Amino acid sequence: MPGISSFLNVAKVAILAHQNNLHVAANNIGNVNTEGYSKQNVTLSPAYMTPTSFGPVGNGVNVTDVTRDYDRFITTTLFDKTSVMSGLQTRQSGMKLIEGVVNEADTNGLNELLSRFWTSWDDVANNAEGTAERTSLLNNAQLLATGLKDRYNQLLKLSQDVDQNIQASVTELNKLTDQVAELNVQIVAAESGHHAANDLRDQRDNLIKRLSEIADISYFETQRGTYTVLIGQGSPLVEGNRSWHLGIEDNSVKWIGQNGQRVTLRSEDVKNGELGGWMAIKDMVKPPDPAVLTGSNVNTASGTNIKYATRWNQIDGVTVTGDFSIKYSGTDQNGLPITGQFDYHASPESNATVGDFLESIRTAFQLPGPPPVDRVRVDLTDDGRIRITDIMPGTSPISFNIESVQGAVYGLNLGQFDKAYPPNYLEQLNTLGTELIKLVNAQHSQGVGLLPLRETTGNFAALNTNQPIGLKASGLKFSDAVQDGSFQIWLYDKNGQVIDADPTTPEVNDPLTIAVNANTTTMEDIKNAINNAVFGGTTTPMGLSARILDGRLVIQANGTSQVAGFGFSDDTSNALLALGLNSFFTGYDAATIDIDPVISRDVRFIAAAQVSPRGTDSLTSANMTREPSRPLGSVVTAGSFSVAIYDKDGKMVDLDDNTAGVNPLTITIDPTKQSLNDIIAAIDAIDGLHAEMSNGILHVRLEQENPEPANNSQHWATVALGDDTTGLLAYLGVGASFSGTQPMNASKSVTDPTQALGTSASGLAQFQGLKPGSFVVNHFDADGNNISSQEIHFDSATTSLNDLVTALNAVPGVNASLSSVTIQGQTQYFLSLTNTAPGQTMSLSEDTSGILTALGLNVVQPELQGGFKADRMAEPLNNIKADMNPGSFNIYLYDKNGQFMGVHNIEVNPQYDSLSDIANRLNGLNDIKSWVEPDGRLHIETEGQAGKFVLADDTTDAPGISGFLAKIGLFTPAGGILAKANNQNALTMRDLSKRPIANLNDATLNEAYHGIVGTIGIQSRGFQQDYDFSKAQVDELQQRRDSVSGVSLDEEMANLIRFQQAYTAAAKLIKMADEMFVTILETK
Amino acid sequence: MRITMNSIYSRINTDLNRLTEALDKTNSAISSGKIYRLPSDEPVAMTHAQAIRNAISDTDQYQRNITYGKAWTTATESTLTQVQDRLMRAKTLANQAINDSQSAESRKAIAAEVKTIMEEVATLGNTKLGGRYILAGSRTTDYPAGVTPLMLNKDGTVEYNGNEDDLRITVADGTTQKINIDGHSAFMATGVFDGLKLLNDGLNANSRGDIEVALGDIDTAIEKVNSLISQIGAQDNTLANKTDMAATFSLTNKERLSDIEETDMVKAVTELQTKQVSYQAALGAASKVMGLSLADYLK
Repeated sequence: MPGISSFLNVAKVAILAHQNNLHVAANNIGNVNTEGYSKQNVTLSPAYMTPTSFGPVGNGVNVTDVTRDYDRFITTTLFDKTSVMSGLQTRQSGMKLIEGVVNEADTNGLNELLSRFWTSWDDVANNAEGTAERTSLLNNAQLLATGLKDRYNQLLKLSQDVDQNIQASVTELNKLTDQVAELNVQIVAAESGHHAANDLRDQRDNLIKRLSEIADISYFETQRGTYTVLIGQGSPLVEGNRSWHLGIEDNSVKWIGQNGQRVTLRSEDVKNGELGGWMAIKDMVKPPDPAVLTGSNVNTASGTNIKYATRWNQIDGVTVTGDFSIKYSGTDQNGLPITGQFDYHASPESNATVGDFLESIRTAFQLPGPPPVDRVRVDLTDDGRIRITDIMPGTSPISFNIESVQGAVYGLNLGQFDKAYPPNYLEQLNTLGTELIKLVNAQHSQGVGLLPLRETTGNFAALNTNQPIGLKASGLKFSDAVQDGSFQIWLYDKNGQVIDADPTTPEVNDPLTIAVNANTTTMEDIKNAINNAVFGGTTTPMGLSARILDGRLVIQANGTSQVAGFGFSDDTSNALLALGLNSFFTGYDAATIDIDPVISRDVRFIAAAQVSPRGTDSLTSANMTREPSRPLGSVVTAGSFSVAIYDKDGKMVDLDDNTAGVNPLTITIDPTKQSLNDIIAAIDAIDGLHAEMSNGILHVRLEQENPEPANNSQHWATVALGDDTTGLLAYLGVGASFSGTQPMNASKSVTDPTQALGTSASGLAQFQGLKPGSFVVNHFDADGNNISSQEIHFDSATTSLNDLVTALNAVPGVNASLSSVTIQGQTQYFLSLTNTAPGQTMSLSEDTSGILTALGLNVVQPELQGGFKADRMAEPLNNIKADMNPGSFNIYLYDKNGQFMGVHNIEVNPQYDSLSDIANRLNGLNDIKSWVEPDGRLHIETEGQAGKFVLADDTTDAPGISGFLAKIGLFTPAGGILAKANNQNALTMRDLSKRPIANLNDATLNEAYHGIVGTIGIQSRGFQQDYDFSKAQVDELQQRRDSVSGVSLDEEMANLIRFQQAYTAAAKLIKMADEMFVTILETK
Repeated sequence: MRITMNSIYSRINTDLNRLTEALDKTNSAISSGKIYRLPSDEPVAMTHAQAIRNAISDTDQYQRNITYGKAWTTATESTLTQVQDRLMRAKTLANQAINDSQSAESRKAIAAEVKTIMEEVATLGNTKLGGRYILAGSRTTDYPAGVTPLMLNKDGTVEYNGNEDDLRITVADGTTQKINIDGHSAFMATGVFDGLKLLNDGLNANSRGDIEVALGDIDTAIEKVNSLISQIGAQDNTLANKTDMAATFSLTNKERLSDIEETDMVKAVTELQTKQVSYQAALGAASKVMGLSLADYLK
């Protein structure tokens, strides 16, 4: 029943209730900055009513509950997005670190170092003998190698640092799960009174938030009020009072179960959160796992990745038309070679699958039994690559390479197995280093420095020296670059002069050629080939030794012959690259790149030059031939010739007073004492005759005013020369026009005596000027009287040489005959006329047809002129030497790639052949153009297919006789010469910087590096933008959460005032109740 | 929507942060002169910039090469021109000597001068540039003591000890240019010494016929040397053209580079001003808001 005491009661509960209100408000204000705090509210409800006679009466207020303002949906969403944002933030900061390594914003990055390296080669090319430029090149190369290696190491260190971050995250995560489990227990205990444990729940939510930041978790609240936290595909982290941990093993995140079992979390499971971010960054820069070999090529069947059961002809892009086999090789865990072959038979097993090939690889690596032990696991990755995993690691990492696919299959590409695919940034940088080394070394190994090498050691050690160097089984890093071909070793003496390895061909210098077959030649084979090398045609050892030291090939000059040094050239097999001989860089990728110590110690060994090649494409003779039309063997010997003069009546004039009768003047020649000038003077001495050499040509003419002989009234009309036993007339190109005892020999020939001389078919050189006419054959008796003159008709269109011979033979006292000679398969016919009448002389005159001159004969005339130039007229005539015997020489042709095309033999018959004849003979060859220059030099050059030619094997020489090639001065470069200023290799090296490289997707080295920097930049930018977007989302959600659960000071302030007023009012109630009591008590 | 104190402060935080970040970026662009600091700022621009820097570096090298090569071509041209002068003098002497009024003694005197000309030409053939023989092909140094590329023997014959290699320099991507003339082409194949020797011998032997032939030879030699001079003159011209091209390329590339990576100062400073103003406004607003609280108004 309401009364004062109940009234007091109401006041009391009211005050207490409002005290609570104030307390909670104060709590809120106090926690305004607490992370994750949700605003708490007091729930008031009226106290239980008391029934009275006039109805139920309230009994004041009760505090029934303290609740917190909490929106589960917003919170869950917020934590989710926080996870994503956190992951992106981590990725972004990690990318910035990666970017820092390849930052090219300033000008001292790797790009600049690469540039400077390439341009240094030009400086060396401009002064190949200098040492300053070489030292500068070496410095720049050192900076480049160090720069590349440093960047590689920085990225590697980054991956190791990231490991620590990952470990820290996992440790924190484990601690948090423990704490959440503990809180779960506390909350359940605290909530046993069916009131929510608000602060504990807030705490627990905070822990969940931190957990979300670390990893991608999902959570939900159970009926009992505990949180269950899951990760991945349902692995629990917290359930009730139990918590589980994660661990990092083998570079992946594993969930550790109660009994120690491990479940690996896939990368999709740990995508978000700091953990996911660091794992992603680590993936970008971690070094490849040496125990896992992945194929570089993705294969699909109908668009999806190939599987174990995929048949060969189902693979996209592959057509199988018959049997084929795949050969492979590699090294096992102990470095021993593994070779194998997978055979596919079109029938009957046309349902052979990819899996069969994988099985073949697995069995190849097995340890023989019984039972055989598997040492590798072979499977296919999710994107269709072959993967080989080493499950029994030994002393050396396994290697594998598919050497060849042969047979009736097209388009099958299973890829390379030397890196991890797909490549991350570290791998890309590594590949850049590998390609730089291969590019520079391949070219450098084929060049020579300023001096020959005395010794060279290969940079690469083969694990198995009796395996072919072209197979991976040899253990050589660049074995896949080796192909069938050869390389050359040139030999030098101690003065740096080249030594011919094959003296049987003296005109060209030969190197020692080592042939290489990629599939069969082993390092042992090469060693033996060098050790057993002998000089060509002899059994003398060459003086080079090779040995194998720790798997490396070492070549030295051993001093047993005059060979003191050697140099390399022309490596078509890339064996020098694979063996690491004469290299510029050591190492095989960015982690191991360095400068070859031989070059570091002595810059003279930088191979800027190339050994000069054999042959040339154009040659002009060093020596001039005064008269290219004169037979090369034309000389003047001891003997005599005669000068005859005829008067205007055709009677011979007596010039010789010492003999009876009318005789021509005989001039004897002693070539040892007399010079040409002397002979000319002798002719000139004849009164009335003028002889001189004008511009090198003989001119003999009758002088206008000829003194009449004392007792003779003859007028001199014509002069003739003939009866030459010395060869002088032939030398000067003066045709004989009279004959006493000696034959008149035509100097020009025909090739077909049956054909009309006026046609080209006859082969007469000057057939075109001929016209129908006639000439006269005269005979003179001992008194010089003209006793017969026979006209010989000539029709240019019909008269052949045979006809002429017949016609001439019909003349009494004349014997005409043909002599012939065959040179280079071509027969030439020469006419010869002799006087047969005893005591008589013969002359030729009045040629209207031109045939006599065309044949190289002459007619008597007032003025005679020679046809051939002469010089050195003041020297004794025996200085004129042929200096060559009949013989031949060879011309070797090489095409533009240096491959041998063929050899032609050119005959030289000095008695008949002039320099022009030889030129024509050479010109007749395909691919060679040859002519005689106006100043008498022979010029030979290539045309068409030919790139170079070599002149050699001259058989026209003999002891004391130079031979044709030496006399004319035709020397083709013999090859093998070391010229210090040769900069061929340096120039080629420069070009390398512009060459697209297949392994870098046809980009040049510089472009590939730019690509790496660009890709990193773009990816970083992407993360940045994603992070900005995600952060905006999270901020928005945070705002929303705050608007629900946050503490607004204004609100709380207002609440405080409100509650204070209510408290004051309730306190007033007590005062009032007290007053009421006093009033009652004071009633007496 | 309820705005709590936390919301207000976190908003202020985020926005001020964004403004300072933008301000910092612009500031950095001005002070460094480049539009990017890291590849992620402008990745594509950086890739282009790298490629252009490579091109500039290459072109600079080509210009250096050309300067070196021009020294050679100029020296070679001047040497061959002097050889030609000597030959012209020899031709004059030969014309003199052909005259019938000459006697054996006077011809011998002329022969002595011809011998001197031969020696002078041989010396010219051994011209060095920077310690290296320019008319010896690629055998520019490394001769044993007493041996030179051209050696004139006492009997008037000449030996050539150099080789016939070309010396080349890189003048553009993938293009090399020959800068030398080798001694064989200049002296042996042109017949310079053959002609002079014949003249000398003819004069000494008083053989007019030989002098006449030698005159023809010397004429041919002069023509041939002349064509070599034109050839090297053309090489010189080509080098001059290439150097002009290289200079133009370099300039174009430098312009492109600055276009791509350099900050447009005017634009950047204007932006800086704008951002500064925004930042100041934000700071002012923030300070106003942060100072207000209900607590101030309750007694």
